[in-house]
Amino acid sequence: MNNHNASNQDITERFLEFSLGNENYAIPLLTVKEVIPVPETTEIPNSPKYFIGIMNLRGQIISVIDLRKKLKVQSQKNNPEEAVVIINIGTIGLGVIVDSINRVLTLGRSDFSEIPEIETQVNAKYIKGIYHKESHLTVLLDIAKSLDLSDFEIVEKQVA
Amino acid sequence: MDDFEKELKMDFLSEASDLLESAEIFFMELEKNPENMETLNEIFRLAHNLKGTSRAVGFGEVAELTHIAENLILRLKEGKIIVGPTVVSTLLEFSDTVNKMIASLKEDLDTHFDTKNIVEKIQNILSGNFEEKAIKQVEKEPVEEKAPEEEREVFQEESILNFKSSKPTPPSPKKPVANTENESIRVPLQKIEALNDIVGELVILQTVLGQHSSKKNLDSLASKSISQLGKLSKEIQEISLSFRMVSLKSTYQKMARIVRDTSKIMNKNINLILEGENNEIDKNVLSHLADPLVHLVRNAIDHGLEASPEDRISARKSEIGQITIRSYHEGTHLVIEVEDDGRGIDHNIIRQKAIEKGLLSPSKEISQDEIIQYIFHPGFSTKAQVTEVSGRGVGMDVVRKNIENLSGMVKVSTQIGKGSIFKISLPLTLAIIEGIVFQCAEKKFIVPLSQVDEFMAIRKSDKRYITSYGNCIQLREETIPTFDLAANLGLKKENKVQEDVQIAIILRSKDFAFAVVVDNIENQQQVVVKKIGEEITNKKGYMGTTILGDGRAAFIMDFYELYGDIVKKNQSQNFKMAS
Repeated sequence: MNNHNASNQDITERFLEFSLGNENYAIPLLTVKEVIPVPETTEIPNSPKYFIGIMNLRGQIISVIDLRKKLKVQSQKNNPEEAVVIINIGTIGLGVIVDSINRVLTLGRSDFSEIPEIETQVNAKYIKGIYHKESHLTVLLDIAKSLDLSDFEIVEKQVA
Repeated sequence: MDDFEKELKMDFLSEASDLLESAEIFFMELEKNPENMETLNEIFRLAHNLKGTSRAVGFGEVAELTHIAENLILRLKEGKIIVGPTVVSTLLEFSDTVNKMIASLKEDLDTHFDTKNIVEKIQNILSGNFEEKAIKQVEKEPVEEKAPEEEREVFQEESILNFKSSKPTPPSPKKPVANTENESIRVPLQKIEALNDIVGELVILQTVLGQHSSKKNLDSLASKSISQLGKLSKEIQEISLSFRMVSLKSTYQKMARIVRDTSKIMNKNINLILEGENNEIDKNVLSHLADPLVHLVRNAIDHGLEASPEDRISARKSEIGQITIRSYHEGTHLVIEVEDDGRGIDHNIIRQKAIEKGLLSPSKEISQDEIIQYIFHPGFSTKAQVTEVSGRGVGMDVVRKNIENLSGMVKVSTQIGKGSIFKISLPLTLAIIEGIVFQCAEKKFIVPLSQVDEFMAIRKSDKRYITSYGNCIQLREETIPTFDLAANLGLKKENKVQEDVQIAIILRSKDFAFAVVVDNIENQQQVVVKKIGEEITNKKGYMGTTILGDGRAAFIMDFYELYGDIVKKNQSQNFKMAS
């Protein structure tokens, strides 16, 4: 539908696609440091539910957030494919738990459609764009916005 | 210039810094024992080495200058020129010059220099044309006794600096610090950090393996190997963690040099005492520590010590001023103190000045101790005239800023007529501390051993509730407030059965004591303090995080931060509470 010929000359960018519940989301691959299995975490007392805790990533201490709980997406049950995506937002490294890692997408700007009035489980302000091909639909997530730093301030306030 | 050549040059530059650092130790050693041939030999060797390598990689100017210095050292060795303060000063100036050259070469490999000044000075000595006239024909007799009239002054001057140190710094020439014989190698910090991370991973796997071996029935060889491997990986971890830590030795040495030079300029007799040079601190912290320290030391000599020996004698003090630099661990901090036994700081003057500058309202009553801290305000200098050594009033606030950037603190305490102590206290971020691992609601936490006064097993019935004071326990004659950590942190126990016997960790500071109740004490171990991520900073009560032996992240608690305010508040409200 939105497949202009221009897409061939388009500047392309790569995205990591993952699942939250039954929906597909993608974030720019360059923000992703690595993907690891869900590690053991240490809970941070008095923090919000989606704030899973801190983990040891080869000697580095990193906070882990459950993106499903954060975005209030129903997570899959008994899911063996759960993974943690390590991302870098500015100077902060964060672990983000997702239901499964799907693939790497290479997309040009023209591959995106405008944000339609669709029903996703995610607040529209976190969405940067939609990519769909045939029956497959992927939501481009603004990860920095969806994990807004104000969340961390909440953590601080609750404990203080 | 191709890459290989560039690499060669960079290698030389970092090596040269090392050589010069060792040379400086020997120069000062030489000043103390001018007769020591071994020291001279070492210096000669270092200079020769520097000359050779600098020429080989194509730094002709460095080689040229070193060559001239080498001539001088050779003459010293032959005894044709007698070692005196001027000679040592010139040598030190030489090493400073080369140091500067090396620093600029590091920035730009094609820098050129004007070394006329120092060359001239060395030439002057070589030609016997310098003010001390300390040149003598070879006559190996105790110089001090035989010194003719005109030289006497020189040797008196020499005794200005009376190094004394609890442990030998600079080291005796028999045990040179010079690591030119490949006793050490340089490794980029990045590599060490990468190693630390990987070792962390290794330890996790090791723990998994260890737990596995205790469950399954492995044959004895396998289980033996696993436990052996466990020991090894623990050792590797310890060593790799220690790489980042460096002792204060080289910084102390720098300070010794500063004291020497400053005492000459100020013409003050100084006895420098160095304590705790073996204390270790993270490399990153150390590299930012030198500047503030230099400033404090200079200040202590310039502002702290009395202007003249007469002043000191009339104050009934030895005419030799004393500067002490000491370091020690205090709680969770490494403390470095610069102490002088000089005049002290008059809080009235500071107060006056603070009011003049509009920093303090004249009617405000604050304690003397607080008034003194005003010297750390920007633009605050009480000395009337600006001196060469210190004092345009830009110093102290820069010192404070630098220390605060390392999340440290600097404070001054003083007593008029007795002297002042500047106390820099640096957190052990990244440093290794002794910690107690304890359990609370099935979770492991750490408390720094330094915070713990004692442990006590308590039963639920031991806790008593006192209105407006909270829960208390009886510790011998004392009633102390008690906090339940699990409840305060909102931790829920999965195992609902409440253990009857719990452990109270007793913490005691100068003013108060309190107890924190936890479930169990696991063990005592060294932990590496890691910073808390930006996203969870400012959380009260957490000093940092660490990785435990099983590879899991755990929080290091700061109970003073968590509970100190509450205890103090309650105490001031109920200060008359009978115990």
